[in-house]
Amino acid sequence: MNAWFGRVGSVSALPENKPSVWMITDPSFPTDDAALVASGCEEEGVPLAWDIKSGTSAELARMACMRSHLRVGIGIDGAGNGSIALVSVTEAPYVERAAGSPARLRWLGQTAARISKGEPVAKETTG
Amino acid sequence: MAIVAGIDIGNATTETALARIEGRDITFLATGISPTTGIKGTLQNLHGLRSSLGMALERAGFKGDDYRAVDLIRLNRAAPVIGDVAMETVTETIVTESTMIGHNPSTPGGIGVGLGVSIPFGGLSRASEGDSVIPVIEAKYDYETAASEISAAIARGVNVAAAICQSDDGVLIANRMPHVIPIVDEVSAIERVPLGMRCCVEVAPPGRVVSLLSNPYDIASLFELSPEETKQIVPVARALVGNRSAVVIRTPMGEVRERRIPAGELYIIGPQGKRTVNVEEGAGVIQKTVIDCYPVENIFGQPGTNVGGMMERVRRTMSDLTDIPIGDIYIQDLLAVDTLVPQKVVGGVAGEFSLESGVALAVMVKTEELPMQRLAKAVAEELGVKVEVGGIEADMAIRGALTTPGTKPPIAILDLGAGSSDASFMKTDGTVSLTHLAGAGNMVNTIIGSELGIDDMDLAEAIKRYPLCKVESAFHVRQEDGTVRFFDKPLDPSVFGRVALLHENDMLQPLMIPNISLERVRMTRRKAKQEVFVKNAMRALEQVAPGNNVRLVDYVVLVGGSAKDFEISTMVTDMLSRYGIVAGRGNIRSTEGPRNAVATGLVLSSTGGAQ
Repeated sequence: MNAWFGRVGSVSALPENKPSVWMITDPSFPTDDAALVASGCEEEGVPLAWDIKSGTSAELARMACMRSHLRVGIGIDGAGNGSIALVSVTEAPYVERAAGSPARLRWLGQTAARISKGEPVAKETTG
Repeated sequence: MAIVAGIDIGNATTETALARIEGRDITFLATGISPTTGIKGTLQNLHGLRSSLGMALERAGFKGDDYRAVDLIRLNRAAPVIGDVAMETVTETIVTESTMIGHNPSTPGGIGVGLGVSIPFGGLSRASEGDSVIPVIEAKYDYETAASEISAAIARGVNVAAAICQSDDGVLIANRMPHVIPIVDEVSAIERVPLGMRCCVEVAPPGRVVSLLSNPYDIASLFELSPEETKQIVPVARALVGNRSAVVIRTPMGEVRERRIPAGELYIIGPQGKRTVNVEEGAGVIQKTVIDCYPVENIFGQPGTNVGGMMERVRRTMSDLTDIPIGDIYIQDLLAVDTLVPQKVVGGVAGEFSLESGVALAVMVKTEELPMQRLAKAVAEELGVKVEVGGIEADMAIRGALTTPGTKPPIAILDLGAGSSDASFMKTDGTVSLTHLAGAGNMVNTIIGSELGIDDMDLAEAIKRYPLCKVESAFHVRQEDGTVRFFDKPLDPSVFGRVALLHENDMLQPLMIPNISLERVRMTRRKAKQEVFVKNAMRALEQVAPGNNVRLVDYVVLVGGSAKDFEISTMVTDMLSRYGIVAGRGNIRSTEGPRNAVATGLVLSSTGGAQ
């Protein structure tokens, strides 16, 4: 399992009981792109844990939120489609976005972090 | 037998009461309500009148356009209440040369205070050992590059005291520094940050606000300012109060000053002659002058000033709409309320705002009966129904209000509408004294809009009308009274975490105002209602009460659209209870609540008495 806590790139074992947003990405999703999602979380000051598994973005997000002590998970499939799931919202992912620009990946991380803090979701910018 | 429609054209709504009259027996059939079209008392009202009457007809079992089913339409004499509201800003902060960045990014980086010379990020590699610098980082540099270059400069012995960043990268850069420096980010107009100047950056810990850069004496200490220069910096310090991060840059030619805008003088003419009051003196002095001039005969504004322009605009609008010569338009009441208005700092770098003083003004024009006669004629021609102009609005309101169970003269009525606050007092013998005052729901909207920086008056109206809540999770909101409401389905992510208005049917309207708190919106809304409705209730009752003594009034019934508001009637009732007055919201004909009083009164007066 790859994981970082607090800052992008500092890969270390993440104690399971620490509060963090979880992200699970498809094995084919590039690490550099995952770092973009993580930077969105980090700028908001929310730790992120990262793991790799196969599945749709919705499935991965659901798995991720079930592992998160903040009850928020991000899932990204091999094509780069992203979902954010909450433990409390079981019917479907709370937020879904098709694959897009690097700015969108960072926005997904920022959005998951803000939801975990109970703060408003920022408007998505293009670029 | 005759079908009579009493139609009350108000500033915001047109209300209809439809009744069947046989001899002196009156049977109310239905009511209608529709937004008023155009300014009250003008021919533009016709469209709203048709809509309101059509609704009442349909509810009574007629066709909505079967106007000929009505034998008589009685209109209120809309005179004398037509209002206008305006906001006069009295002060303005001007920064010539760019000297401050006081915006509030949600996530600045690091903590602390850094003092150095602002330099372009590209020039950081040329900084020498011992230099105290603050790099200005454009968006084209990513956070990894920014962090590594700054770290390299620090390793060379350069004192990188802080950083100013265009992107939302403050935390990312700060997390990659060998030691903590303050970083202000999201500075959109970074090209306007002056370079080569002494500069101070402050970032407060989470949950705190800047303490040094909001204190003029600390700024004076940091930049070694003279007492004169310290005086100049006061508006900058004031504009930075409450921010978590801030930057102040000292430019050699920089000048900051607080300008007082000449808002102008008001000339209030009463029986004792003309009195002059300057708008800058504030609402208290203006209102006292209005009272001193009671009964006010006319009000003018100083030509060439903002307030002079407002008064002439009101006169010209009324003259254009009614064909009454502009010289015959009389402004007979004025309500002034002190406000704090967030104004953009002229010359700021990141859209900084400063809270400036302002005065909100509502005025009321007395019109003649002629416009209503013209409207009545137009209605008769358009609908093919006999139309007559009934009694004065406040008189009709008291007749309608007396259909509220548990009421009898002597009694006072407060008709709280959108454009005016009216009061009438009926003695035991049936004689009525009445008054119409400027300032009601529309003025509350103006104050809310100004204090919260909202241009959209529909949004200001919604803020006035609906209680607030904060969306705390995908399934629940916390209402402004602290209680929690749950929802069956997940709330949309666009409302998550936001302050929102709770409409009927649990619909949420998020307030997309940056950094707004529920407490601030609530305080602004309640203060505006207190300043307008509670103040006007007292002013109005003082004018109609026996001997102008409010304590001699025993019973007050609140009617009108604003009496339906979820808190206005409570505020007024609470204030009146201190004078030993029994006050409460009316319930016209036991069914209509506080609405339809004037329309009901128009029907009742057609037979010459109460029901």
